[in-house]
Amino acid sequence: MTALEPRLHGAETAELERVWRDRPGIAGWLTTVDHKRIGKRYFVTAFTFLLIGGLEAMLLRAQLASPENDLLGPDRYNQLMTMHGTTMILLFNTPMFAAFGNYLVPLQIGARDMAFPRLNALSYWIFLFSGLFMYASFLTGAVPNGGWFSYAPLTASEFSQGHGLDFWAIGVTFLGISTTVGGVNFIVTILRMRTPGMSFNRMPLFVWSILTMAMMILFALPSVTLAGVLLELDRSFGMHFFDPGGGGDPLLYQHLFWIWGHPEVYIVFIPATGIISMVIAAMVRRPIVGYSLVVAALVATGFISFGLWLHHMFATGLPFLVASFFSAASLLVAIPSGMQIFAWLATMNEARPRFDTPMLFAIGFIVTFVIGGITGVMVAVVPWDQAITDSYFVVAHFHYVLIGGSVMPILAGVYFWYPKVTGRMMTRHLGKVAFWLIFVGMQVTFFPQHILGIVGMPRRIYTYHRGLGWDLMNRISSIGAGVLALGFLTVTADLVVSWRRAQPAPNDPWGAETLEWSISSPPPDYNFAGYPLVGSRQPMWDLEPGETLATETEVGGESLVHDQGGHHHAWVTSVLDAEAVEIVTMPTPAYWPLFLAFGLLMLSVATLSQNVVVALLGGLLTAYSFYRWHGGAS
Amino acid sequence: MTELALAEFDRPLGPMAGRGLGWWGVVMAILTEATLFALLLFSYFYLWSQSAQWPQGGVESPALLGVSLRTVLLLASSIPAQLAERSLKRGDRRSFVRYLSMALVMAGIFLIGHIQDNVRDWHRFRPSTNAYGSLFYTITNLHALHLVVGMTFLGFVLVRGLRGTVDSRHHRAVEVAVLYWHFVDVVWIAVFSSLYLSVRFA
Repeated sequence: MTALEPRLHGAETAELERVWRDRPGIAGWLTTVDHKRIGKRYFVTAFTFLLIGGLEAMLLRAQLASPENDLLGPDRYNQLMTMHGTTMILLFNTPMFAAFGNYLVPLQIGARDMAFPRLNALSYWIFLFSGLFMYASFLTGAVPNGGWFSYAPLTASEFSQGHGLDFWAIGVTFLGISTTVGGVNFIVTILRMRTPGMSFNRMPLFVWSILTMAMMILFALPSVTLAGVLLELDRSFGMHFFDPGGGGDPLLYQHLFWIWGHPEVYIVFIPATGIISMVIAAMVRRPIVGYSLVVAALVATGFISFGLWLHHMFATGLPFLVASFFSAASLLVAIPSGMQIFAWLATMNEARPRFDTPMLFAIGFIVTFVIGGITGVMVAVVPWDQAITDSYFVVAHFHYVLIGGSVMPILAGVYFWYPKVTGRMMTRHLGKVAFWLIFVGMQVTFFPQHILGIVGMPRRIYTYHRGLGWDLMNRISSIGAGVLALGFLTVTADLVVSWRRAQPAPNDPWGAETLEWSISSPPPDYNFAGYPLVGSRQPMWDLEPGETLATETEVGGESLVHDQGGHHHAWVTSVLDAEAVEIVTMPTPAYWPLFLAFGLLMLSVATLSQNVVVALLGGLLTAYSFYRWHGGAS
Repeated sequence: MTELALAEFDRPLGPMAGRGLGWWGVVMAILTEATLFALLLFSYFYLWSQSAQWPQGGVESPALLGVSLRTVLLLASSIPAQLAERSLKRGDRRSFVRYLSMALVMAGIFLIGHIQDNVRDWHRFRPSTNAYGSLFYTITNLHALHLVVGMTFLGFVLVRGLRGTVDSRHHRAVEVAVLYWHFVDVVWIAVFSSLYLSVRFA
C-alpha cells in the first residue's frame, strides 16, 4: 500500500490543469463537457426562466388584483397562465436540480466528471433549445393556451386552432429527451463513479436524493413524452387517441399526463430534501439523525408517488373502490415525508444551529412545506377534493408545496454552495432581507387563496365580478406577489453583487462534512488530483484540525497526475461497495452534442411547420452528429 | 479514519472484469423505453375497455399466421446474437461474424414482413380511421423503429468485427448491442401478445 500523499499544489498539478482545461474563448464555451460549467449553465438558464415565469405570474396577479379588470384580455391571460405553469415546472424547477446535481454530484462522490460527459452537454443544449422553442411561440403570436396540463379535448385541433398547442406538445417531447438523458447520466455516475471507499451507506444524502430522482425520471418521463406525442399525432396527423368521435378517450390523456405529473411533484421535491439535509447538517455541525431511515423515506416517497396519479382525477367519475385506493395511497405518502421532517427537527435539536441565510431558508421550507403538506392530506380525502377541486384552494396548496418544498430549498442551496461555485462569499445581509421578503411574500400571496377557494373562486378565470366577496383576498394576494417579486429581485441582485464584490471564500466556509469542501473554491477543472480516501459518511469531519484530506494519486505505479498523455482519466468503482475497479479514459470536449441538439431542434421545427426540407436537413445533422459522437473535437 | 479507508483497498486497481459504463447506460435506457411500451399497451387496453367493439369500426382482427412465423424468427435471432458474443469472447472472430450476420438476416426478414403487413393493412384501415388504427400503427411501427436501431447497433459491431477492432479483450460495444437486441425481442413478445393474440382470443 502506498503512503498517503498530501494534496498536490501548484507546479505538481500543472499537467492535470493543462489536460483538463477547456479550449479558450467561444470554442471552449461551445464544446465544454465539464460538469461544473454545464451545471453553472443549467443554473443560469433555469434561473432566467424562473424570472420570466415570475414576471408572467406578476402580470396574472396584476390582472386579478381588482374585479372586472381589463389589463389582460382572456386570451392573453390564458397564454400567460399556461406559460407560467409550463415554465416554472418544466423549464425552471426540474432543470434547476439538473444544475445542482451536475455541479455537486461528481464533487460529492469524489469523481472527476460525470459518467457520460458528452451526453451531459447534450442534455443542456436540448434543455436550452426546447425552452427557446416554446418561447418562440410568442414571436408567432400563437402561444400555448391550454393550461399547463393541456387537457384534451380542449387542446384538440378542433378547439385549439393555430400552432400554440403544437409548440407546447413538441416542446415538451423535445425537452423530455434532455431530462431522460440527464437521468440516465446521474444514475450511472452515482452507481459507478464514486471514489473507492464510498459504499452505498456512505453516500451523502444529497447524492441519494439525486439517485432517487433520476430513477423516478426513468419511469415517469415516458408518460408525458407519450402524452405529448399522441396529442401531436391527433392534432397534426389526424389520429384519434383522445377524440371520442373516433373511438378515443380524453381521459386517456389525463391518465398519461398524471402518471408523469404526480411523480414529477416528487421529482422536484426529493432532491430539495437532499439539499436541506446537507444544509442542516452543516449548520448544526451534526450528522442528520437517522441516516438509514431518511434514505428509506426518500426511496419510499419515490416509490409511493407512482401510485397517486388518480387523485388528480377524483372529479372525473372514478369507481368508488378506485378512488378509495388512491385516496389511501395519497395519505400514505405523508408518512415518509413526515419521517424526513422529524429527522431534520431532531438534528436541529442536537445543537444550536448557526442562523445563516441557508439555514433561514431551510426553516422557511419546513414551515411552508408542512402547511402545504397538511392541505395535501386534505385534498387527498375524496369528499373534500370534490368540494374544492378546480378552485383556488388547489392553487394555494400546490404553490405552498412547490415554493415551500422546492424553491426555498433551492435558495437554501444557492446560498450554501455559492462560495464553492464562485469562490466568493455572499454579502452578509442581503440574503436575510431576501429571505424575509420571500417568506412573508409567499404567505401573504398564497394563504388568502385557500380562503378564496373555500368561498368558491374557481382557478383559471381571467377576471371576476364585483361583490362576490373575493375582492379583498385577491387584493391582498396580489400585494403579497409584489413582495415575493421584490424578494427574488433581491436574490438576483445579491448573486450579481457578491460575484463582483464579496470576500474570497475558503475551501470550507461552513465547516461542512462532504468531499466538495475538501478542494479549493472554485474547484480546479479536474476536481481531484487523486481519488479521495473515504472512510465514513463525513470525511471532512474525520480530519484533525489543520489536516487536509488525503488523496491517492498513483495506481499500480501509474500516476493520475503526471504523464496523462492528453487524456481525461477517471476512476470507476463497483456498484455497491465502491471497490476500486478500473481507470478509464473519459471523452474530451466536442461540438457533436451541440450539433446533435441543433439537429433535433430542426426536427422539432419541421414537425411544427410540416416542412420536409427542414426535416431532412435536421435528420441528416442528427444522424451525422450521432455517427461522429465518439470522434475528436470535430 | 485512514485505517478504515485503507481496508477498502486490498484489491488493486487494474484492467477490469465487470461491465462498462456504456452497458449500464443502455440498461437504464432500456428501462425507460420499456416503460414507454408499457404505457402504450396500457393505452391500448384502456381504449379497448372503453369500446363496445374491438377492433373498432368493423376492422378485422389482424391475421395470425404470418406474424406468428415472423415472431418465432425474431425471438430465435437472439440465439445467434448471444452465440456471436460468446464466440468473440473466446477469441473466435470468424464465428462472431457468421453468427451476427445470421441474426441480422433473421431480423431483416422480420422487418420486410412487417412492411408487407403494413402495406396490406393500409388498404383495410389507417391510423386516421379510428383510435384502434392510431394505436395499431403507432405501436407496431414504434417497435419497427427500435428494430432498425437495434439492427444498426448490430451492423455497427459487425463492421468492427470485420475490421478487427473488437476481440476477446475489447468487446464492450458487442455486449451493449446484443443486450439491446434482446430488449427489442422481448418487447415484441409483449406487443405480439397484446395486439395480435389477445384480440383474437379475448
